[in-house]
Amino acid sequence: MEWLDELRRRCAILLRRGRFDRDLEEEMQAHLEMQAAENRDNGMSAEEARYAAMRQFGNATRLKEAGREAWGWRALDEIARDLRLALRTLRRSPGFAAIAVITLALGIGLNMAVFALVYKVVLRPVGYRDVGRLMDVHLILTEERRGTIPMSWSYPKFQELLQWNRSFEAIAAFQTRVLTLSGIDEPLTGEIVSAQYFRMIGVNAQLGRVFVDEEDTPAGARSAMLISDGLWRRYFGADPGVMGRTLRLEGIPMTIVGVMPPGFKGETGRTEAWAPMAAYFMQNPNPGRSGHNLEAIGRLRRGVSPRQADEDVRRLVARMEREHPSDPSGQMKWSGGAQPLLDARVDPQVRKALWILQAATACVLLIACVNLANLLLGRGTARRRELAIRLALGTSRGALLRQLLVEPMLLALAGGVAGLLLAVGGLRALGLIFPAEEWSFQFEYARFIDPESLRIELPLVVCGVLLALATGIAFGLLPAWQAARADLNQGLRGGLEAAGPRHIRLRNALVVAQMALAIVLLAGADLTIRSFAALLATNFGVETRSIVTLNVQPHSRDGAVQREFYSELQRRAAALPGVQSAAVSDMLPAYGPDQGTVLHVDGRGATIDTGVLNTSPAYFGLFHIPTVAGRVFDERDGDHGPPVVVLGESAARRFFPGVNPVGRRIEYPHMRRDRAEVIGEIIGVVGDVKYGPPEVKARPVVYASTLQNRQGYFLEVRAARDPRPLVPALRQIAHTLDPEARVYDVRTMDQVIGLATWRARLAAVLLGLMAALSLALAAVGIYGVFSYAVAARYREIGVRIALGAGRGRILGTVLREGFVLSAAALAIGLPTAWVLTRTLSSQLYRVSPANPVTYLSVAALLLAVAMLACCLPACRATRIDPVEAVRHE
Amino acid sequence: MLVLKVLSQGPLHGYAIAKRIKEMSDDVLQVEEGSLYPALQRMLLKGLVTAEWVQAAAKRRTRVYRLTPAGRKQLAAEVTEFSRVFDAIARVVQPA
Repeated sequence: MEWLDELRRRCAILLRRGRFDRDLEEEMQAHLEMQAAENRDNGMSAEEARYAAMRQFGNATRLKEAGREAWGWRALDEIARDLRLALRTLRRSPGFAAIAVITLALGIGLNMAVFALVYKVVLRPVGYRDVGRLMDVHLILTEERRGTIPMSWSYPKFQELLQWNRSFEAIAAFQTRVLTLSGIDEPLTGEIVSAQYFRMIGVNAQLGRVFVDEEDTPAGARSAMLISDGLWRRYFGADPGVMGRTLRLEGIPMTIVGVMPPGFKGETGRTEAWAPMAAYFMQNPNPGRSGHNLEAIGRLRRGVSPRQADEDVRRLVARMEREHPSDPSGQMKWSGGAQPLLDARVDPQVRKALWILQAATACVLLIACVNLANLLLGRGTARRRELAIRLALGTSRGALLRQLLVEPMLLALAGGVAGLLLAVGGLRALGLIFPAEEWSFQFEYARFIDPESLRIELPLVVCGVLLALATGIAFGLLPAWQAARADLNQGLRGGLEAAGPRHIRLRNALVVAQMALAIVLLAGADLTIRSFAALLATNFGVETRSIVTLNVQPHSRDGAVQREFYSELQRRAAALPGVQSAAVSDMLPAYGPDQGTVLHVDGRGATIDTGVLNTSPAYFGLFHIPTVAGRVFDERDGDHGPPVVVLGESAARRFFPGVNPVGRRIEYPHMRRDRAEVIGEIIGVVGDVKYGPPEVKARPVVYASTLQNRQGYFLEVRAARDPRPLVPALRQIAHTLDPEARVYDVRTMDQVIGLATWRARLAAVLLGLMAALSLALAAVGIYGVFSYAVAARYREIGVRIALGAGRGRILGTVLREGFVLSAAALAIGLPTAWVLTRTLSSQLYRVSPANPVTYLSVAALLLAVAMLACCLPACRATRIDPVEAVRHE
Repeated sequence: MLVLKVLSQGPLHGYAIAKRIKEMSDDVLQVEEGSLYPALQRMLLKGLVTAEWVQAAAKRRTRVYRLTPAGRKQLAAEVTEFSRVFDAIARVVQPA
């Protein structure tokens, strides 16, 4: 405690330093005066008395310093002095300071923005209590054709999991679905959760309460629901009186019992409403053992490792399968497993992509550091004489080193602060690249990034400050050390020429390193952009121009009413002025069927994983899908006609190799009559269309008719020109047909394709930006080094011009050096890029990382920029006036 | 130790402390008087003494130092230690 008191006293004094100095001065003065007075009393003259007193007292200045030193401020004083000196030095060269701060701000800001992304998406995708003990518990389905895929639980299987598990102290289940809520037009992402759920993740309501156990038992099922903060604000004006209000959720009356805290958006990252499981199942009976629609999260018992839990779940599912085999035919093998929630919620591809991005941003910062180190080295040389004089006057080399380090640290901190601001803005900009909305019914965990959740939080700020300090040391140490150990004698004598070849070599090495790094980034960016271009050039097999698509759902669930609704909708939409045709389907090109169906192909009994789509007759004409053989649907294929299907080309090739499929039969799921299989006759073959994002391998496709099979809910309308002005009229039609109809996911086909490629676009934009930045930095570096080199050889070049060297020759000399450096950088950078871009290969679409065009174009670009950057100083060299140069200094 | 001892007899200002040490030691212990002040600062920092400005004459104030309880304890400890060492030295130097 004593040292604490001491510290307190020290600080108290520190705040009143001026007074302290005056006090000490006054006290000493008083001492001297009293002594002098006594001396006078003893008969000395006034003058003599004063001198005697002073002699006796000793060196007052030194003593004052000793007094001050007692309080331990010396170091502080010195640092303050260094800071003042550094500030003065920087103020004298505002250009340098500005360049340094801007470079650093870009480097640090980029790194922080990307790190915020990595932190949110990879390191902390969910922010639940004690999240390390939460596990994703799932089934695993292995099938010959489809491979191994994780599956969710059915209600009976989940009950067995609850009973038999030994590894988890609690297990919660949830189910994600699109919900409709009375009075709210947009469909909402909702979760049906077991009462355990909120307790397990440790999230509480900001208003009201979360579910209690009674609400999740069939007996005591009260229909309670929770809403998100966003929904509460948007639709209820943040009114606390919303508690107890009853809304109809999917037609079931439910009472709001709580509002979740802001930022909590459930498992999907955009959930707006929660309902308890038992109450929900009372109204919507669960489909039994094979209805896999529940996801499970478990909290590990203390002392149980994730691996043990994984084993336990596997054993448990094996027992389940022994007692109630899911697939007696044995074609599908069921197993189970558990995985830490933090891993399960991150798409491995996204994780890898983000780490690559982080590595690239770190590279940019490194280039920035090298640049600044180089600039500082140049300044150090310019200040050689000043430093030498100070050394000669007795400054210690250590003090000089410290002083020279203060300047870069100051720059780094300024850059860090600016970078922080930049990161905040950058994250906002990043949010703009994200699509404003995803498909409202596609649940892909951790693929959706909520731009609102990207914030600079405290841990990030701490990281940023540390990063700034590390940066300062990284780029400041070498130049400071170089300057502080300068040879006194040479420094006093020489001008720039005396800097010596060694110094030039160091700077050249730095520039080469910088260019080599830029090459790696350029190569990575080039590959990513090429891949993105390939994605954009993907032929989806359809003509997308002037098409708008809407998801339209009538209120009624009755099949006949729905059929009537959709056929009337199509008829009226097609009749609108400016509309060429209208169709409905249950899938869109580029938006894929996420799960295939296993079909039985006639005669051979083979099962092939296929996508089954339902389209109206007008669909093929609307998208300009060519008919290859037979015909497509028409009015004949209605309810009373025989079931018919149309095959995509590749499906025809796979099911009936070398045979005309028209007239053959195929067994496919008939969704209208309770999922029974029906046998359909193949009436035609159409050109291939790509369903799903371009990078995913397409399945063979079978089309069924909406007139016979399941209804489609996408309305597609082709207009003569821009289709967007038609949207209000289309909405109007839907609402005339059914006032409670819902219309959402309104997009042009080009927007649909944009959604399918946005991740690639994000990667291309970010990596492109970084490569451009690194190239610009490298150019500045080259320019700096050559400006300096020309300045250093000012006299030499002057003499050579005087002796008759032509301007072209001088230009050639400088440019040749630039070329040599660039060549060295290429020799290092290209092989490095060759090796490092291998890590990109899984992220690339139809581009090989070993593609020679990339390396050639990167090499050419770098050479061009490097030559350009040393052209300016080279031209300056040719304009040196020999007379002036020789007289120089 | 000397300063602490002097102050243990009552609060004094700097000049008076210097004079008192000189008197008490019969001018044997003559140090640079000024070095008293850094020493006082160190004691202030350690909390052994406190200081207070007192108006002495019409135009002059003096800073008066006062021993704190911690200072008193320190003095006792130092005196004990000093006599222990002094006795030891005495025993060695003086023939028995």
